[in-house]
Amino acid sequence: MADKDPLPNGHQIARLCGTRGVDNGIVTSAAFALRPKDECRLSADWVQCSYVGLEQQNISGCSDRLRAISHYPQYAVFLQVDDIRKIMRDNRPLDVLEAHTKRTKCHCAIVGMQDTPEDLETQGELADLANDAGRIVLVS
Amino acid sequence: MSTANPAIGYPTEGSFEWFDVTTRFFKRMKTDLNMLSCSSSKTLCDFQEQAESMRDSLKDWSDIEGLLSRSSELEELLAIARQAISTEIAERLTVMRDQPFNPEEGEEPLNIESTRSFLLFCLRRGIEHRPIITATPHGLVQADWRGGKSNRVTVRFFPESKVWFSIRTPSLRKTSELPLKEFWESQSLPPFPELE
Repeated sequence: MADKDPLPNGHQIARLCGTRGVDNGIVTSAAFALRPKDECRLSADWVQCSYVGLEQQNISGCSDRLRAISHYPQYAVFLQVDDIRKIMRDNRPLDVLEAHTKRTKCHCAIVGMQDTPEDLETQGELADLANDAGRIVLVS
Repeated sequence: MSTANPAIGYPTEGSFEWFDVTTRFFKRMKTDLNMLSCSSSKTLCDFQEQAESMRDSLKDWSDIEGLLSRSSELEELLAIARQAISTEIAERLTVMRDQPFNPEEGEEPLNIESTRSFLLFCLRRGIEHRPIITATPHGLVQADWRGGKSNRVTVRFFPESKVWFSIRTPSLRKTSELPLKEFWESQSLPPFPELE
C-alpha cells in the first residue's frame, strides 16, 4: 500500500482500541501499540472522509463505518489530525495519511513510529490526546 | 531473637518465624493465625499441632515466585495472583482474559509469559494496589501508574522477560527497554503511585 495524501488539518480520525486498551474509562498507550503487520503504520478511520456522502462525513457516520468492520463491541477514540501532527518522534512530527482500500474506503494511517521502545512515549501522547478529548465511544 | 515462653503458651522462636513468613504469602490465613498466636488459653502443644497442620497445607505457598515461574497455564497464574498478590489485580486480568479479540486483525489472546512477568514484577516490588491494566493487540500486558498530572509510570511486559518502560516525574523523564530482572531491581524507579 503506497502512502497517499496527508489528511487536512482540522479533520478528525477514529482509532479502534479493542476492549483491552481501555481500563476504568482511560485509554492507554497499549491501544496505540504497533503490530508487525502494521508496518509501523497505525490504522484509523477518517471521519470527514471524502469518499463517502456528506451525511456520513461526521462522527456518527464514522461510528457506523467502524461498527460495520468491528467483529465485537469495542472502544473507539477520536483525535484531531493537527494535534497528532504536534507529536514529535525522533525530531520529526507524526503524520496522518490517506490509506484507503477497496474494503475500507475511509482507512487512513498514523505514520512516523518505528516499533522501538521510544514509541512507548509517543503512543502515550496519542493516548493523552484521546483522554483529553474525552471522546471514547463504545462501538457495538 | 528468642520469643520463647512455653509457660504461657507463646510460640517458640522457630514457630513464630514460620508464622511470619507464611502470613506474608497467605493473607487470608493471617486473621486465624493471629488469633492462635495471641490466644493465651492455647497451650504450646496445641499451637504447634495446629501450626504444623497449617504449615503442611501452606508449604507450597512459601515460594510464590517459584509457583509463578513454573505455572504453564494462564488460569494457574491468575489463581496464584488471587491468593498471593492481589485480588483486584487478578480480577482485572481475568476480565481481560475473557474479552474478545479478532485474530483476523492480528490480535492475540492475553499472553501468558507477559502476564507471568507482570505478576512477578508485582510480587517483587510488593505492588498490591492495582494500576491501570490494559493489553496491546498482541496480548501484552501493560501497567500504568498515575499520581496526579505530573507522575506517570508505564511498563509494557514482553514475553522474553524484557520490559519497555516510560517514566515521567518532575525529576525524571526516561523511556527505554530493560531485562525484567534488571528493571525490578532498579534503584531509580520512583514509588508507584496508587491508582486514583
